[in-house]
Amino acid sequence: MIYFSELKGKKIYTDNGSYIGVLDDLTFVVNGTPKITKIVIKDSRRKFIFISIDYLSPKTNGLQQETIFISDKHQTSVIGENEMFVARNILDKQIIDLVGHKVVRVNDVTLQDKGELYITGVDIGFLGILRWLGLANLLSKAVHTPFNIHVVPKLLSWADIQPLELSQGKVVLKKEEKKLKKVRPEDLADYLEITNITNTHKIIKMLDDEQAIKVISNLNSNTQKALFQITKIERASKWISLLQPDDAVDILLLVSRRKREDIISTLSDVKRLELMHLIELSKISSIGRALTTKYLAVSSNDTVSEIINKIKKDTQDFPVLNYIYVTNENKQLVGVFNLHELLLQKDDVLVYKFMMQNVISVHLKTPQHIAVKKMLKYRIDALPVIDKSKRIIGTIVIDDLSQNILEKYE
Amino acid sequence: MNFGSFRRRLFIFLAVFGPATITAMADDDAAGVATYSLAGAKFGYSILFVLLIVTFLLAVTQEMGVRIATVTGKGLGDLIRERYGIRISLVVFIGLMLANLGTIIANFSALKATAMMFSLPAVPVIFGMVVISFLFVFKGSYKTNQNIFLLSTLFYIAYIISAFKARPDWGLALTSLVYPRGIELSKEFIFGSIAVLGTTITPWGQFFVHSFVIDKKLGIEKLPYVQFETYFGAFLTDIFSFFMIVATAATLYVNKIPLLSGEQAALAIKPFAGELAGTLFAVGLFNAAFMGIVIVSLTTAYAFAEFFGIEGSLDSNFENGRTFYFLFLLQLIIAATIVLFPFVSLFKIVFYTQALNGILLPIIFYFLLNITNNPNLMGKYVNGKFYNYFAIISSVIIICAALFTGISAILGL
Repeated sequence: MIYFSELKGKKIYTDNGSYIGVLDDLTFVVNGTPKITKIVIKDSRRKFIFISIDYLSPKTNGLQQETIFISDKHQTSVIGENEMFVARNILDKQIIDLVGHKVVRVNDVTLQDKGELYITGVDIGFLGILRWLGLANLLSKAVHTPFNIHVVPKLLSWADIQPLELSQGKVVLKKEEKKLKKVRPEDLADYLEITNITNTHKIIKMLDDEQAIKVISNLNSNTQKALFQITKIERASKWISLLQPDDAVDILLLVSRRKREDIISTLSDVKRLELMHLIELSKISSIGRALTTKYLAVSSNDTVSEIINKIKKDTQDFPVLNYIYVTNENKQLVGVFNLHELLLQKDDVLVYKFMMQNVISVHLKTPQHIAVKKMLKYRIDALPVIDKSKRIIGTIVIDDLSQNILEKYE
Repeated sequence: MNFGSFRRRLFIFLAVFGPATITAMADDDAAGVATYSLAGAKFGYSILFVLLIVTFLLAVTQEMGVRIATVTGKGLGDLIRERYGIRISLVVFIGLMLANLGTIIANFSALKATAMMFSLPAVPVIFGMVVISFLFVFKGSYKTNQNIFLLSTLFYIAYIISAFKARPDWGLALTSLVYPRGIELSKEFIFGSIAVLGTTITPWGQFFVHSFVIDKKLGIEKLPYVQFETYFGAFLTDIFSFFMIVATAATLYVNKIPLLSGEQAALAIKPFAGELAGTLFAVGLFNAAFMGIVIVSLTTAYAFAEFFGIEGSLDSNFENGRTFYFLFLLQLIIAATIVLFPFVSLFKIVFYTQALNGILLPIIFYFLLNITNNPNLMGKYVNGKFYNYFAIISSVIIICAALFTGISAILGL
């Protein structure tokens, strides 16, 4: 195990003894395994020289010696497109600990020499800090000899961390994508709220659409607003059309009017109408804001098996389906039932026979707290919203209102 | 701008209101009160001119701090750690911690002096303050702590009342702000001015306003309101300082009564301004000590969290914020213990603290200017050209004053 803190500052000479400078940094490849590619040397004029690690003199034991020797015939180069720095980009920076689910700071970087030099992980513990002061060994001895305690560094493996900052803008970190897929969208959203918005943007762009949407819908509104302000129109439109309509509308209402109009104008006609309609509703009341049009309504003459087919065909993109509403020929709400009740019936039963006719509902102008009270009283997590003629406009779920309730208590 | 939008802006301002004002008010900690009272007694209204200049300097430097905090979302400790590495971070942190400890000790000793003035036994008072401060920070959330801080600024009204009771020459006082009269540019006056500067613009002040803004978790769209609040806070605190100086200037300076230490101001002004003024002055000092003790200790705890990557927030529960709260408590205990032991020279501690602050301040301003001029970090919120000139000139003045203090304290002048 080699620690970067032990390497930094080592003197570097050529084989025939001429002094080049001190080791300042290392570069590594970003795609795949983090192999060390170049040594960055700071010479006496404080200029930085990049030399490929292949030029390490075969005579010596590589980087672990007191002094490092480079072949006389070395050539200098520059940092490559898919390379990053160990010290400038990883050391002292904040990273996501994917195992411990929190943001930590890198105190040291660990490397391993197996013919070629690789980064194995980072040290996030106190020992890492002491190592920079040359005190790590002192502490270990001081505690080991009298008390027989082994002081172990707190290490995280490279596979279990995700750098928060991606400074090489053009680089796509292939391995990082896979790591990010393992993180739950809710957790990733938490991390992205901490880091600056350019970074958030970069990371979300790396995700596939499905995961990106989940993460975006979990961000707080400040971050969502900032994110969409800096996202280009095409990508923003794509995200808006993929998001759940009520989430999309929330975001559209956050951004500037100019941005909103730009995004809406590039949407498909169907989507644009849907969202404009919801925007109009959201201007009316808080119920309107929380409203979604993703509900299933069936006719009172449908059979159980017909309804099951409808569910399979029409509700693919619903975030959740608990209740199914029943309407008559005039599209008025006449009944409701839940999935449990549906599945207990035989296939050919007509729905009006088992639906609940006394439907709890709210109107657009119903105050928010009344809606919440109803949901709590009757133990249902969604309510249909009806107009004066008892026709369904949409539904609200308790999740959307619970955010507002939570804020009142905080 | 119709009335609706004004109201909306007002609400946003009130929501944002807090960090900069509190930091500025904490400048009126016990040491601050002592310094201003002493300055007023020694130099009369002529020192008010210096106060006005210092107010502007405070506003500018605080503004840079809150701008960095809001734009980058990172604390000063975070940024220093990320840009300059562990070793420099450690040096800065140790310096800050020691300097802050000195300030906390100064506040505790002022508390002790005030207690004795009220004929209260010192030990229970100090012990009580440690317990109250710890519970306040540990049990309170960011919001309650912020609101209590803001409420306690009302205590400073005590000084306004004291000042009125002293029946000063208001005309002279107010004009002295812009047109100083009767200044003798003596060594004493220069030292006095620098003392006023040094108690207002402090290393911990820079760190605290930064960390406190971040702990409040404001979005960048709130930046104009935060900037406005910075100026508001700076002026507010120095309005109170104004009254402190006037109170002693009108009573002690005018009657040529020498004042030995700031704590005695409360007693000293009694014969001239009445019992109530004296008592209010002392009560104000009590509150000032509380603010200073809590806020400066918080600064060190925040700084440690930022430098070394642990969780540190007033909203942290016990599980996550253990080290943060422990550090907070540790400083209180150390400071209280030192103050209660009579063989330690508090005077020397205060002196060394001033020296340390004097050395830290230039370093911190170097970092601040570096960061606010870096477009990679600040984006479009980099220092504008004119603002930069102003900021640099302010920093140079502060740095010179700070170095002057530092060096003279070390050389024992």
